[in-house]
This record gives sequence, C-alpha cells and structure tokens, in this order.
Amino acid sequence: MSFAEVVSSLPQLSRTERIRLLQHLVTEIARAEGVGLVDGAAYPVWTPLGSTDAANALLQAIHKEEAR
Amino acid sequence: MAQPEQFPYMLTDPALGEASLLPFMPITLESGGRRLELNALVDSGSAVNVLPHNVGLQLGAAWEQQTIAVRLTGNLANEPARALLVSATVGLFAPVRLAFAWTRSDAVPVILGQVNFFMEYDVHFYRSRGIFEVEPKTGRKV
Repeated sequence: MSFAEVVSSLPQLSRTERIRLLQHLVTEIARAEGVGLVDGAAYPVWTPLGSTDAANALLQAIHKEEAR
Repeated sequence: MAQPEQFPYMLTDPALGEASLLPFMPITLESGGRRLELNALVDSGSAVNVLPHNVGLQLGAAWEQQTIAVRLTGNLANEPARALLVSATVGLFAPVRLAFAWTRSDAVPVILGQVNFFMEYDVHFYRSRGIFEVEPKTGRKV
C-alpha cells in the first residue's frame, strides 16, 4: 500500500483510531531507534503496590452496589 | 467471543525513546451524565484502580459525598483516597463498572489495576513488539 493510499484511507477511521495509529507510529519509530536507559533520567513508578486494604474496600463497594 | 482490542505502547518521553514506552490505553469514563475520554496506564502491579483528583472532579464527583475511605501505599501513601465507582468503556466492548481509589493527588495518571480492571478484562502484554491486547473476561458479553 502506498503512502497516498494510506493517507486517503485515514478519514474512514474514528478519532480514537487515528490517535491509536499515531501512537503506534511513534512507538515503532522509538523502537527502531532503540534508545536505552539514560544516565540521570527520571523514570517514575506510580504503582501503589500492596494496597490490599484499599483493594478490599473497593471490592466491598462493588459488591454493595451489585446487591442494590 | 470478542476479538481482543490491540493497543500500542505509548511513548511517554521522546528523549528517552523506547525506555519510556508504557502500556497506556484509551478509555472512556462516565459518571452522572459526564463523559471523559483519556489515556490510562494498564498496571498489573497495582492492587487497585487509581483516579487522580482532577479527573474525579471533571466527572462531577464530590469528595465529601464519597464515604468509603481507602489507604494507598507507595508514592500515594501520604494522600487520602476514597472509593468512586464509574462506568468505563474500552474500545467496542460493553461498559463495565470500575471501582477507583480516588486520590487527592494529581501527580499520577489514571491507573488500571488488579481491583477491578484485571477482574473484568484479560490483558496480554507483548512488550518486545510494543503492543498489548485487552479483551473482556471469559463469559462476559461484549
């Protein structure tokens, strides 16, 4: 498929699909360039690992709503 | 049976290239007639779903009206959080109810964790290919 054919087919995609396509292309380019870990860069970790009390509270909230 | 929806990993920092790829996924959240489309981090290491404070406000939630307090760990440990149930839609799948730990912090993305995102969806990560797939749990209608 040529570039022109790809471009002409884009209007058929939804807004969400176009964003996904954009993300896919950016990802592919980044992977091709193969940049590794950078010295001194910040890599955030947001994961609330081990919040089992919170997990249990949320489950109870779901069960309570389902029971209504 | 529903076909899995496939998503690319998202580049979160162009300067870091492939090292910054994370499984962010578009999702639609709805509550009280309000609807938000946003990207959420699919995080199998997180015990819970997490909603930043501003996103809850945009969905029309009132902090004082949420009566179930939840305690988070990690870098969210110092912020109070409360349970908030919202409707969520992934791709073309039917909406599900997701329970979020709604934190007072905005320094966090929307996180989809074990309770209860991973209880509703099966997720397959293919990090080496830069993609991941999501499908409704077996037995749930699409």
